[in-house]
Amino acid sequence: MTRSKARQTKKALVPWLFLLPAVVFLATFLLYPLLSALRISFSEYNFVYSEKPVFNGLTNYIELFQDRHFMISLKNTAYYTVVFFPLFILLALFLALLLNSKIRGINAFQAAILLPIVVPLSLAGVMFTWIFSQDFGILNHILANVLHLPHLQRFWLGDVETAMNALIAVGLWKYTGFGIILFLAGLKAIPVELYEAAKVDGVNGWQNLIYITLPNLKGSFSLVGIWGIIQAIKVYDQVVVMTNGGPGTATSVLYLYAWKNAFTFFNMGKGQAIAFFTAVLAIVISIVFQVLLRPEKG
Amino acid sequence: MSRRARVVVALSVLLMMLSSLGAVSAQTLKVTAEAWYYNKYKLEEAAARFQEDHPGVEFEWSKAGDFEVAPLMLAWSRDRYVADIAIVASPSEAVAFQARGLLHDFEDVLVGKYAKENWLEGFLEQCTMDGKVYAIPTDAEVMTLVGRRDFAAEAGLTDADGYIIPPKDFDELYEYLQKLTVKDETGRTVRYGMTVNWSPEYMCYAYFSGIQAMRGTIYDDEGNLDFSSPEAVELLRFWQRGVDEGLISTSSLVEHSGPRNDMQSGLACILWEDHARVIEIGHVVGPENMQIVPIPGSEENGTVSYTMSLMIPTSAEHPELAKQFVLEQLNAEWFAHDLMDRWGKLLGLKEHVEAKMDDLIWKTVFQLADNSVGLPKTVDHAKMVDIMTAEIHNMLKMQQTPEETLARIREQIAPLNLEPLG
Amino acid sequence: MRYLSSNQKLPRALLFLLGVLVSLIVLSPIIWIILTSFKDTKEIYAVPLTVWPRKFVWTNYLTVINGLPEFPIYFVNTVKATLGTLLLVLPLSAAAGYAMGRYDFPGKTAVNAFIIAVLAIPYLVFLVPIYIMEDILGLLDTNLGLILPYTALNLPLAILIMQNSYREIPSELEDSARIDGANAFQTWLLVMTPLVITGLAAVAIFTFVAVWEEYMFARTLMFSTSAHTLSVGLPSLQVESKTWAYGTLSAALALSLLPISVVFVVLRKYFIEGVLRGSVKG
Repeated sequence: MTRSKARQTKKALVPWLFLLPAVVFLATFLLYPLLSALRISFSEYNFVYSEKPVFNGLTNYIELFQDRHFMISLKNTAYYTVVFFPLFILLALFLALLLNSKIRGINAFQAAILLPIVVPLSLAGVMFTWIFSQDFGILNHILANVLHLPHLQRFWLGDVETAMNALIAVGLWKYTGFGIILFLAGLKAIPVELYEAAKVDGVNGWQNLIYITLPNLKGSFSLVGIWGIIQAIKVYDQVVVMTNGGPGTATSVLYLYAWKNAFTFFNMGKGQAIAFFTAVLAIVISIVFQVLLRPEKG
Repeated sequence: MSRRARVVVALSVLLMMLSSLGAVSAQTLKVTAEAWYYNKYKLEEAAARFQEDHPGVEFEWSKAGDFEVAPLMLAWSRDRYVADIAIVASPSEAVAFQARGLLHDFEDVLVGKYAKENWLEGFLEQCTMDGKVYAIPTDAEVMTLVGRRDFAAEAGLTDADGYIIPPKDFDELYEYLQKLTVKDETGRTVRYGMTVNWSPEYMCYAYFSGIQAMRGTIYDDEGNLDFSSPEAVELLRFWQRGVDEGLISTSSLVEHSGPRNDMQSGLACILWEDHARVIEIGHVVGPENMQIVPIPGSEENGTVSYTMSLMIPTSAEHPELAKQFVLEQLNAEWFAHDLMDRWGKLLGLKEHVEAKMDDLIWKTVFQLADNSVGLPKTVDHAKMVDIMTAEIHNMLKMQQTPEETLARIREQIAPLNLEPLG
Repeated sequence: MRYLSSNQKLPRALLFLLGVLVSLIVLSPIIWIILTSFKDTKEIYAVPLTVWPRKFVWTNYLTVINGLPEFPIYFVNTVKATLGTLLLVLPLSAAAGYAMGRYDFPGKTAVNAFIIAVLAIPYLVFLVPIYIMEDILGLLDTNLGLILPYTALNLPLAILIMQNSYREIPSELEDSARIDGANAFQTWLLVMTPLVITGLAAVAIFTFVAVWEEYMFARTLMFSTSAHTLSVGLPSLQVESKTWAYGTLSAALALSLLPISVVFVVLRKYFIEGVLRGSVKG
């Protein structure tokens, strides 16, 4: 082997050594099951009543688009994503900026605002079901008796118009903290010198934000953005606990429908097909999002 | 050490060895049930009593959440020993296990005192497939109306003794609702005439109990589950109109326990759910205020009932012992009566209910139970329930008419496999 | 906001008020739950509602403690699963993130694509194959049987976060370390990693929470009570299928938030220290 080729191989070797342990895990516990599940999505397979999976090509996928319930789930998931995503990013950014400042009590605020992260979503779901309850919920009670706005009361989880929004609110409550943390990590990484140099130049607060902070958060935006989109499309926990897709099909989302098909109806083939469809959708949208962020690199 | 001390030590060691030997040869019965079951049923006491008669038997309890059928299916299909007794599913779900040959049947033990004719037919039949009983019914219920006598008396709907006069048909029931509902000046309902449990867990029972009461059967003229008869339309219209006019509460569209809460807090006068609520709600508002009112028509035509299934899988390590426990304690009179008194739920043996026939409530329930039908066990049962629930909820949200609802249901269940199994 | 100079009093006062307001709004559901946990059943279901308990009772807490005798077992299992997963995820993702963030090498795009793909896939997809795999390997009902899949499931996001953190570091530091004669491993461990403490803290928090509250895998892979985790044990408090007694539930929530909050506060301090260390590096 020539010297440069040896060095090339050695160059490739080093990063792979770092990568190897993680890759072993990913390959064993994720890649292999994934391929296995993928194969099932291309088969006809009822876990209880079928002898074994029977390959049927794209049938499961094609039939999805003829399935009314699936199309409704798709629409609902789209709505959830379109509303959740921008709110998530804006709230996370805003609160991260707030929590990054040197004001009194910042520790307490951090603890309070980030606390929802550690509340299990299933328990949070039950908690909010109680809060949103039409007759026994504190929200309606406050609207009617404390703020004296009784006409604002709603059957939050039972009205088609409000159910999804209630679920989005719970998702935001729980997950914004994650976005805040990711943004904080990015904010802390911005070198102080940049701000000090700007101060010397007489730049004021807003300009700092637009010309220094935001551009340096590109990486974080990308990460938070991807994470946010994926969480939105994968929404499941609070839906199953709070409405289980109801009323009617008003809050039926993709992941929930996939779950029902796989583990309630035992139609594994169809369930996995929906799951993979959801994943592809999330990936495509993330890629689009990344591409949209990129052109500014000039 | 002195000689005496040495003897004492030697004897102690011997005793410990002997007792550990006993522990090694003990048999352990593992029971898995949904977590709430342990709150309602005195399983530990049943175990203690069983141990008196069968020394050396230990028990191990496992509490499950609601997502239990799939893990069990996974485990049992791979012949994994998870439990000797499992109480986790309705017969419609349990039939899946039976279809895969994963359950022991109870044929060999249903003799003598436990012979099949001594069980409430409506319940046992649901747990039978191909003529064999594959699960023991437990936590059984019949669908009926449960009414508040005090509210009914206010509205002038009671007889001389203060008992609610049962409405003879749905039209009369509707008039009752109109009289029982109370609205405030803005027209907002402050007390509903009725609350119906339309949550996914109850939807098919609520719907088919109405059909059964009206028609005497849950099937249409072609032998399929009825989603087309004029009575079906009438039933849905009754519900939709009731919701539209503010007479029926819609709390169950969101919460499984909505109707029960409505009754306990006095927000509704009549409950359309399972009979056991009459006891539960009675604990809160006073038993003298509660009465079972048959769904109009159900006294002649019967009603729908459902149970939980107590199963013994083929992967069980002590199936025979498990069967003994199930019959001797989990169907003992003390167990049944405790259940009936505290929660109103039923077990399968007739004699337990017959013992309480002097109470009007149990007399009514017995008649309803013996005369009840269960839903057929089919491959795509869960899917059908899902479709029904979605469409009827849409209707109750005023998004489609009863006729459209039924048409949509028929259209979506057409490709499903709804052939009764066994 | 960092860029505001410290002698601007008005904005700082406003920010303080904002902080208080937001904190209260965010915490209000939890405060409500804690208040509910001290009410008795009749009061909870009374119409109209009361906000402050008319009478403080401990019955709900007693019901929880009596109703969950296996609480210590569940707790220990959850702790073991969490610690085990953290012990694997942190070093593995730091190493992998370093490679992905600072090197170009054949196969990098494939790995990157796979990681994002996995993030997007609903967990249910992996459930049955992993179950079968663990059944064959005899890992069902063991602590390792949860730690291994949890590690794999949490690695993708962890790697992404670390990748991002390592990428931010200016290359001069790496170069000067090399000039000083450090090999790749030493550079990574001694120079680069201390600079990404915030990233590691983020990974730690994410992973901790994910493992702590995970239900699906815990329920399916661990069927004996002795192997259950907290999230699997909590549904035991359901009064009936899918029905919760809100009094008991509130007490359970309050109790389970207690240890988590303590851990959270500790981790948060670590977070801030990392900040100080990071900003001094210049």
